[in-house]
Amino acid sequence: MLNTLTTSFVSRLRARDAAAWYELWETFGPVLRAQLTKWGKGRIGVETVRDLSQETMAALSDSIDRFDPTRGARFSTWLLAIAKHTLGDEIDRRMAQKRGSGKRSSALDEEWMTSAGGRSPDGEYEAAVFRAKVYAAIRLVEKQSDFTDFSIYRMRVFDGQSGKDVAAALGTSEPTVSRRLAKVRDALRVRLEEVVKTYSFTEEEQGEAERNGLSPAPNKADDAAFDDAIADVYHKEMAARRSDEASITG
Amino acid sequence: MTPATIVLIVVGSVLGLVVFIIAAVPVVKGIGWLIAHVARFVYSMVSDMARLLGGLITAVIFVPMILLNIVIGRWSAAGHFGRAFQDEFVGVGHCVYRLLISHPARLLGLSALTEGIEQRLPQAMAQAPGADRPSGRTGQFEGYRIVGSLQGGGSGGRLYVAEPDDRKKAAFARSGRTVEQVVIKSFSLADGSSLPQIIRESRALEAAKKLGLILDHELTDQRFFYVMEYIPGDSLTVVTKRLHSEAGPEGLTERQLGPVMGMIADLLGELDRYHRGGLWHKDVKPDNIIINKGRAFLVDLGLITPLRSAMTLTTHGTEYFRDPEMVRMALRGAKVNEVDGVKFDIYGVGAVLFAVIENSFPAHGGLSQFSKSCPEALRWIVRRAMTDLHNRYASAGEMLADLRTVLGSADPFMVKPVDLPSVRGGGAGAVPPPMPEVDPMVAGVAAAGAAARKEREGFVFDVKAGIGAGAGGERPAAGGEQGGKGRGSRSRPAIAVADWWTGRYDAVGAAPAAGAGAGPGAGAGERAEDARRTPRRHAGKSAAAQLEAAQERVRRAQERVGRRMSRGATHTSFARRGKFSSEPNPGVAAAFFIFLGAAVFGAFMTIRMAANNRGPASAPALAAGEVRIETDGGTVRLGPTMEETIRRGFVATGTEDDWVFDHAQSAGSIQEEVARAMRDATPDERDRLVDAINRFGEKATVTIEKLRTRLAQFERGMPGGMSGVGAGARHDEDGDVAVAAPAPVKEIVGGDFSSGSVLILDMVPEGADPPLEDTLKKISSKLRERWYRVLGEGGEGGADDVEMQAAARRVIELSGPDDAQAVERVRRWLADEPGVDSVLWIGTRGDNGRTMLRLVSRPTFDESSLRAALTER
Repeated sequence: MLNTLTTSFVSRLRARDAAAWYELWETFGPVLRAQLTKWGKGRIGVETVRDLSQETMAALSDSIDRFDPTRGARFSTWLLAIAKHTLGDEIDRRMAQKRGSGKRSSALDEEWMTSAGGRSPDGEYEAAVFRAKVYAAIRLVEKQSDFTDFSIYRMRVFDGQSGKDVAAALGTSEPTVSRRLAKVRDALRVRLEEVVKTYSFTEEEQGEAERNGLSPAPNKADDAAFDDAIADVYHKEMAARRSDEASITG
Repeated sequence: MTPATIVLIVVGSVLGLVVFIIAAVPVVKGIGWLIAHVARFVYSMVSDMARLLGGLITAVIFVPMILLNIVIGRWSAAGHFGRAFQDEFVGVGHCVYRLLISHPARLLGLSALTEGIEQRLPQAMAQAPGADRPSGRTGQFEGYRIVGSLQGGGSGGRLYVAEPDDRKKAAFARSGRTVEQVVIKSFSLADGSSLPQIIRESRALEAAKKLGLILDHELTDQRFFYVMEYIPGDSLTVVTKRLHSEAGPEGLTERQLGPVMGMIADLLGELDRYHRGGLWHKDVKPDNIIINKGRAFLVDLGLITPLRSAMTLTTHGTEYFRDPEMVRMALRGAKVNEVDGVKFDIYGVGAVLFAVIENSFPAHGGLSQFSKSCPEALRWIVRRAMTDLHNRYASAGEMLADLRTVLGSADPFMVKPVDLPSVRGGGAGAVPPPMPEVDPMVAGVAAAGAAARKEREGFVFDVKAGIGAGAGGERPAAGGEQGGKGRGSRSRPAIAVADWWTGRYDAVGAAPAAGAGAGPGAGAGERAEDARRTPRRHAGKSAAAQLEAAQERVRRAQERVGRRMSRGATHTSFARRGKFSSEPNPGVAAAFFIFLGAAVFGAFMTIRMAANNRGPASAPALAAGEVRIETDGGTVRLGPTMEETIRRGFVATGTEDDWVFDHAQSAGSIQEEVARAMRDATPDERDRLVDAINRFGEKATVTIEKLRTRLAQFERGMPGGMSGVGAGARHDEDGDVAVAAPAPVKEIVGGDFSSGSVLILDMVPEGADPPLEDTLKKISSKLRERWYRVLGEGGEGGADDVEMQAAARRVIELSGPDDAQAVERVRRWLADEPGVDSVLWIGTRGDNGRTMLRLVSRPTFDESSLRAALTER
């Protein structure tokens, strides 16, 4: 059963809330691009990948009305199935175009909603989707936090600087750095839980964060592990997006 | 064994195992990597090969489709297939490149070698400017001479670099500017621009006029263009790449950081000017920043929007340099005046600074990670510029103050974020940056213009034709807004802009002359306000003196124009014009040329084949045993034998025109051979032959020796000989006759018919048992079948033949073929005797008297095929 946040988000999507769609695009667009690039390697170019990732969103827009949460599909599978359909459709269309005949778009096969049964089709892809969720949470925290607070968190956790260096750079004391760090960390925990819930259709998906060392429950002992996990996800996400950049710039 | 020893052994074994694993794992990994690397290479090569073949086949299929559609007049379909062909062709080119260069380079770990070709080259090509002249449909720009073009941006407009004519220059000079070259941004419906583009640009134009960024503009029902001053230089994108290529992978050096920060400071100063003028640039990105002599200039006015505009916010801008928050706001339907455009421009500056430092665009907004060396304070500035709206710098000035702190430090790397004014709490107000000065020339000359016009009654601008009115009309508008309408006492009549598109305006309550001159004059009123705030270059000079100076500049400009015109501008001659379509389609052109090439080649081959086959079809029937030699120059009939040929004097069918005169083709050897043949002829025959030679000179194309061989073969009815009536022959490049006979004889091409000369030497005493005559005949027959010239036993006979045999016998003396010394003598003799390649020596062995066959060949002669022929059953 969907949680409230997910239901609310799906409702926004169904209501064609442009901001919700943009949010979805901003969060998962890079993942889709990477996946489409992987599938279409050698057959489709960078521009087509970008177009297709947008078309995937358009297909999602059509599909969202027929989305049935009781079938037990994962959120990530939902995205993936539609992306695959979009790519297949594009390749069919191209082949038909080469043959000089018209070809209608094929109907979206939504059997996956039942047959997938909550299983993941691709571990790498699943990891990318999860990273995208964490990244979205970080972005939200960056927006809501005080600039200096988040800068401290960034310097300390993402850039790996010591508390002493951060304090010296900002002309403050180490305890202050620690206090501000904790403030951002707490915000991140809350946001992460929200984001994961928003983009999860199954309970198994909702437990992803905890399985990846990002326990939503505040626990002093886990702070360092939480920061490490966040930093790890952040750096992996940066690396993944850098390769995405490289493919965009050719 | 003591327990201690056992422990030591166990510990040693464990340690050894650990060391082995530590050492072995990287090695195994390395081997695995190597195997995977090679496998990837093989897979890439195979797949690209398959793709190449597929692409070629598909491309070939497209060619007739394109041509068919052209023939039946379906231009669109032809264009469609042309594009498809082009895609295939490009794909094939990529495959070839990857197969020949990219994959091998990658295999050898030399990917860096191909970076330039794969990345920088396509980028440079993509950034190449368009046509150097506007198309005929777009028309020319009156008052400007196009001298080149620039790469168009994403707005769909075309950018031309032009030189204003004298009149325009004078007009610019009157508005206080010395303009050598301008950029014309043109939108033409005929060239594919759309009305929304034109409307958007025109709005931007209206805003840009306020800052005096527009020199001229025009709107017709077909096109819209405006003119800006041309700033030569490279874009910041190019400069950044250059800096990083010099700096290496670590990032910009301290020495490079200074100029870079200076450029960003220029940019911030320029933006601050925009913002204070109430404008939002909206498209700050490296491509829109031109670096000229180390200074940064912001260009592209396409998206400039008044900050207080009531229009709905659009998502226009450039990804990664446009704040995603702006997109969200636009999607929510926010109005421009409901958002803070200044902060969005600041985001763009932060993104630009990031791009310059990292040589990459900030794909993750404010979370983008720095990977290159950079002062912590500079990172802070970038992040502060790109963070969420409520945390961002409130103004360009505030950011500039922070940047100047870093810029002004002896060591930027030592500056900490806490040292920045914004962190210290000073903000922009604490360190107000000096604002860019209002161009003093504008103010000064505008005032001068007003004063001068007062003196020069009747001086009227041609509003419709000249830039003077346009520019003059704009300036006061800008000045009016900046200074506040109705402020100050004006002796000039009020100006009402009737049509800003064309620059037409009316002077209310004044004479026409005053109306024309009112623009600059009114501007002068407001400029005077500015003048009190800003230093002026011409302070203290009278208006008349300043006008005089301006006129002097115009005069100098005119001289320069004159000099340039006299030199002539040649670079516009490269203008490309589409013939069939406004969108040139290289695919159609390529297919057409491929077809044309194939057609020419086919025609050439057909003609050649027809020429080769012309003889049998056109020549008269031959008598039995006759041979006809077809040459490019005519027909020659030869008799069935050499004697008959000579008897006929070589000529059977006609005049000397029947012969091919192949100039300077081994005339000496022909004469020599003819002379040799003449030795066999009767005196009468000889006379006729001499006559024939005289008539045809040295250029006879039939070498007698070849004829002799061929005719001899013919007489024996051998395959390969001229056994068929109507046998074709043609003249080859060496002046010899290549004979082509019909089946079953295979066609012969080439000048040398002979596989070699074999002297069959029968040294077996007479009365041998069994008799050898039949065997020798068979041998000679077999050799002739294989194009050997046979001499000696079963050979051609004749004096040469006899002489040759005699010479060989003298060399052999009485030795048998088993005598090694005799064999060596024969070999030496062959080396000096050009007429024979091999001797087939049949004799009796010295030891047992049995018949023996030995083949002795000239050292340089390949006797393998000869041996094969002899041993063949």
